[in-house]
Amino acid sequence: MSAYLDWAATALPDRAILTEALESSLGLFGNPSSVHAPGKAARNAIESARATVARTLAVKAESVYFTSGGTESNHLPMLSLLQRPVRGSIAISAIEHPSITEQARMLELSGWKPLVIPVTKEGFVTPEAVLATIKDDTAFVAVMAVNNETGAIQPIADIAQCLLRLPAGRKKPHFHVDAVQAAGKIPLALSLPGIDSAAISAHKLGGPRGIGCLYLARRLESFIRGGGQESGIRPGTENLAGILALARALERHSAPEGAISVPTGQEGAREAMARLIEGIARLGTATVVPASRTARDERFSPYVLQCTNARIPGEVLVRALSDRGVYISTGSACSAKKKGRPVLQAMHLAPDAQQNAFRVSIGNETTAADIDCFLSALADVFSAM
Amino acid sequence: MDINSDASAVYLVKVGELTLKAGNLRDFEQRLQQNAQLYLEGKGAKVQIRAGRMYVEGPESSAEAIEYALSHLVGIAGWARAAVVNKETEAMKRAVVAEAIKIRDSGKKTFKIEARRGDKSFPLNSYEISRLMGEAVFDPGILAVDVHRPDALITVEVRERCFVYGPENPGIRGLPCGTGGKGLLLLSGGIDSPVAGFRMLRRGMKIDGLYFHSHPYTSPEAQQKVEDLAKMLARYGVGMHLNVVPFTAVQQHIRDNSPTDYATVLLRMCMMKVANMMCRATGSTSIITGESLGQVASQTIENLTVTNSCAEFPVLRPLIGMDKEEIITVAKEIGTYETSILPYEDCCVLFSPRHPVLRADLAYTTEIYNNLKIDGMLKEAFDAREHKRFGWL
Repeated sequence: MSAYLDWAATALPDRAILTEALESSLGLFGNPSSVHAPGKAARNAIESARATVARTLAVKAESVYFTSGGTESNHLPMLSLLQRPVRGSIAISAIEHPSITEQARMLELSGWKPLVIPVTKEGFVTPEAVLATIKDDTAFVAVMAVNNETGAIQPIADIAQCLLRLPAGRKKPHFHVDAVQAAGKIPLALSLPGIDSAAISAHKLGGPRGIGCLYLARRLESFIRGGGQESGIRPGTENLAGILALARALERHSAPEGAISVPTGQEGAREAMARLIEGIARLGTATVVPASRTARDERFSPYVLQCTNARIPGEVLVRALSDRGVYISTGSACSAKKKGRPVLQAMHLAPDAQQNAFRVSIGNETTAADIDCFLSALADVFSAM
Repeated sequence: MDINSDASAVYLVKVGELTLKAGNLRDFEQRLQQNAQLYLEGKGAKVQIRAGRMYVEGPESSAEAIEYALSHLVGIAGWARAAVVNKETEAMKRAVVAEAIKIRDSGKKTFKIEARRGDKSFPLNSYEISRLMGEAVFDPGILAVDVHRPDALITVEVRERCFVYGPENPGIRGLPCGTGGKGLLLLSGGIDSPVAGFRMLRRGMKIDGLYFHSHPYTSPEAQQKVEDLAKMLARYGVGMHLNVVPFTAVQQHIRDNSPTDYATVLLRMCMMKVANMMCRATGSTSIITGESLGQVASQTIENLTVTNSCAEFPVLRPLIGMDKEEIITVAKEIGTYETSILPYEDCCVLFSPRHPVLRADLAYTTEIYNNLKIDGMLKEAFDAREHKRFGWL
């Protein structure tokens, strides 16, 4: 018996999506920029995929740009700042993914001053905290839609609203939303006024790695230059198979309802998450983070759960569970090789609790049996160690 | 001296302390020669030792392998690639000028010629050779002469043929690996133990490694780090064996059956016991550790005394009187530092007491150890060891 519970790192690949994308791309071999018939056919397939992506995300097709994934989609709006003649500050929430925090450090070397927006003890960024952090010269604000370690859903609509209502004379900063853990998983309204850009990745939804998209409310000056593909926002010959797969993966996970992209088929995941949280409470050896999170807590994504325990370091627990066929991680897979847990630190979790924390993340196909397998392996680890 | 007629890469090597070993010089020389041959196997290179000097020669394609060997072999004081020319002054001058140009291009300004005439039938004496060769460099203004403190030395040796070479590359020094017996190095993955191993290697000791792994408490990356360090030592040590002993059950048993603050010193005792088994099995006659007095709690003199009481072989601690900075300097020199500081712990925090006992009493600690009744478990761990071997190339 084994259970894969690390979906936030990467979802199980969807064979149907990958096969269909590969098969189609074999026929659509032309370079989409070529003017001959095979080129046109490829171009049409891309534009039709763009329309699908736009429809499922409830945004306009011309606001969707295909990229190599979440990291690049996060970087493009940040790098665009380098074109500005005057430097200022950028406000980054304390719980952003390393693809944002590390790029902020890079921008710092170019003269931009990073400001950190604090979070509550429960891991939420409030509009008040954003307003208290930004300054007159703040040109860029980044707050993710769903935190990848705790699953906390951030009030991005409220934040967008209050950024629009800055006092007269203050320019609204560019507001970027990392929606990698949100698209297809929670209701998402990217077309709300005030949201300027958002990042989405395919492999969190069963698609392949190396493909994602950037939502841009309006064009920006791209730092990457080349053959002009993706309207010059992201030049480079298009990853056609990836684009087809991304469209299909988004379609599989969400549908538009007015201006909102609403996740579909997540009843199983909601049940599994409730079972998981209740099971952990019953075991008593581990606790959820934040402690106030309940089994069906609407404040959190039903796909991601952070826990901690009093005894075993998270990293050791991950290895011990892996020996038992249960696969989870300590936190962001992207920072698993680094020391420290910045997100949990920002939530003022005690150092021991940070070190002993672990993340369980699920998908729509996670079953009650998977959860029970995890719970019994966890109990076994605690009694054996 | 017979020179291979195809040879185009010739190296003159100064051997290290071997020259001090009057009685068994021959054994030491032979070992150095054998070690060099191992490094150059299949490269078509020839190694000879004559009159306290080692000559390595091979086809141009073997030059890289020869230089790798000479910069990793223990027992070499210095080496240089030499141009080999006929014993005619014009040919000798050309070789000297070529060497001088290389020296000038490396940014140096002054030189001196040192001539040696092994072949007494050569018509010029060493003073005359120096003068003639010096003129060839000085007259066209390639370098200036400084016979007292030259930036670079060009050596001209007239033997059966003439060897011309520039500044020497430093060697590792020490005594050839294998002339000092065999020792078992307790390798942890930290900064100290590879340095301790290197220091004993340099005294001619052949080294085996022993690492204790505690999956899942310690990570595969921690073991990989130790393997990488063993590979680095293997390059100097004519290869190296590494044995990995699974120690999880032992650590859990100590944790569950002894006072918390004694966990570390008891673990060290257990490691010594397993090291004894390893020495007996592989013919090592000493145990080497990277301990440095007072560096951590397990390395106070009292705790070292307790650990030592479990060893049935001499425990060599080459770093015992070194401070951390000195150890780090050596680690950087031998290239192990960057690997050693990778953040993969060799011991899980779960087994590290917050306040370990600093001055364990031998009798009392031995009693706790005996009450653990852990010897059977140690034997099991030893029997479950995993063996790895790393080559020198």
